[in-house]
Amino acid sequence: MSNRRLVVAAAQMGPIQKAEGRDVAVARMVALMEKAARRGAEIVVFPELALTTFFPRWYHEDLAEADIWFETALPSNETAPLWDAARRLNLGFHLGYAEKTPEGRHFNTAAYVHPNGEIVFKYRKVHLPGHVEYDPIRRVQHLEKRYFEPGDLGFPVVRTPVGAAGPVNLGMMICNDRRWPESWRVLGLQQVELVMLGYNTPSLNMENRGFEAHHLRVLHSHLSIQAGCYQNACFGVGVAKAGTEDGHELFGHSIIVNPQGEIMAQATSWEDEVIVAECDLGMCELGRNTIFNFARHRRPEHYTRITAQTGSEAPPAWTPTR
Amino acid sequence: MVAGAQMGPTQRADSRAATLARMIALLEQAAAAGARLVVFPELAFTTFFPRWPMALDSAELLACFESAMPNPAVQPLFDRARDLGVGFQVGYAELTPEGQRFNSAITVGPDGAILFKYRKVHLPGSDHVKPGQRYQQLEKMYFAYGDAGFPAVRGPAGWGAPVLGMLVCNDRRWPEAWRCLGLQGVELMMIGYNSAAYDPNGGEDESAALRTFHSRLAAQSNAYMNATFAVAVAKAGVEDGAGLIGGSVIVDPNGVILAEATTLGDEIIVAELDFDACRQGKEKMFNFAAHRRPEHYRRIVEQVGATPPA
Repeated sequence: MSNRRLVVAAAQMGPIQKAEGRDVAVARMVALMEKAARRGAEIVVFPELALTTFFPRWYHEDLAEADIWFETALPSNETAPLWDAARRLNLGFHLGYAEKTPEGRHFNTAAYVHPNGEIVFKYRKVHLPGHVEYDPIRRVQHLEKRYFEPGDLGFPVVRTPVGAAGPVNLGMMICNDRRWPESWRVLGLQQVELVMLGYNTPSLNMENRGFEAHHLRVLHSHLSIQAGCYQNACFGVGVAKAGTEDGHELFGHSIIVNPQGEIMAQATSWEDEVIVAECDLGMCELGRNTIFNFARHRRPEHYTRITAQTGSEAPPAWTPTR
Repeated sequence: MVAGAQMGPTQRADSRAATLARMIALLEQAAAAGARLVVFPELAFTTFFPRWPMALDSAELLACFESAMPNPAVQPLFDRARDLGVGFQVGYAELTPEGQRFNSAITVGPDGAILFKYRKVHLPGSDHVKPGQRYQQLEKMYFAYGDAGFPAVRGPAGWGAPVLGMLVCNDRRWPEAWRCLGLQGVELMMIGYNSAAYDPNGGEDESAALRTFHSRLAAQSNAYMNATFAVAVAKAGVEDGAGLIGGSVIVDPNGVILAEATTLGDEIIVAELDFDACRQGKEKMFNFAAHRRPEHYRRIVEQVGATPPA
């Protein structure tokens, strides 16, 4: 047990309907922050695109129409109550939102906000799933590649004072990024101690191309987060927006995971729900100094394919010798 | 149909002939169950000798290495496999004609020919004897780092022509290793291991149950993230007082365990693999060409150790 202890809350959110305004979401989020604070939390993690419905399921032919889903400034009049609550409750918070920059660029973004209201750093989603054009085969559209451009900030880690633990190495990723071990490793190579990530993940495979058993969806999410934490000796908070949004189901199962890959806390509803875990950041040191001591054990000379190629390439064929 | 041939412990004093007889018995059992390919553990012909300090030129250490593959001591396994029309993957300590030593694995086709070889890249442990430890982990002292990357080959038609890859033990905890094979379209990963059932750092932080969980998690998650089948096979049980985990598994491209060993002894697990099951992942979620962003992965190849943020 070390004395670097951080009480982390995952603020899972139930569905936000297409017709509901940001005021509805923000009021629910403030209630979640109050509950998290009562349970001793020093940092609260909200889901991806937490202020609205998961709008990439809706097709706008005219991209300008989709701007209603984007934030042009943080905080704004509508989101200011989150900043007020953070100051009042002395809580840091992680917020996923759709970002439109002053230059008119669009990103799927997360921000980490210090209890004093300053935005400490941002992350812009690198691994955008889905497609650009309307897909008539899919059961539900997934237009992230239409509405966002891939993130341009890499995977930053910032050493940030949080709660009683002192400075904590914070990193972020968003939704589909969690399935990519490259995301975790780039954070691990910066000694990340807490990875915050939000997701909106359909409980069914909506591609309508091939079979994927429904129960595997949660397994995949948990495997990705548990393995990412274990293989990088860090804590992870994976937070869902869950439930049925305008008829389309998202799974919950938000988790807080320790550096051994073990689940410390898990949400059991598909609604607004707070789960809390006390993270002993000293636990990161065992893996970091032994089995995952990168300086001693990594062999980058054999990893060149990871950056030298994007897609997969078939190997040579073997033929019988006799 | 593939088999994992988990092996129980091999004691330091056990004869090579006795160990080979156990392996042939496992091969026959797997063939009788319908397997066309049998996966044996890492360093399958001997005890896990890196736990013992030995002089680098000692006869006992040199006897743990194979200077040719096959050689007379292992030939009966090759012969029996060819008679049965079964291929196999096996881990062994390799001594090259130039005197280099590697922790290697080979895959042998149903015709008895070696398809390909892999030399372990991620050597754990220490390059010197640590005083006061009951068991050493001297892989960095006894072996050179693998020098041939992570090769993949397409296997024989009789196996369904899967793209094959191999890792050895600790490699399975490194997503870089899996990804280098995933980028060659791997469909079947073969992995042998000898993993301690106790905290290898001398502390009390990790139990056998936790270490078995890590082994399972590494195989399941990386199989899923690369849309490949995986066969991960233990040498298990207590070798001269030192415990090894079991938990050999066959995992599908969804990360689901298809078969799992239930003992710490010699045990066959089998599963029938449909390699078309790799396509869902490879063509959708993990369509690398559509979704990977290597411009943001540069740290993975440009730095070795972790560097803290400012």
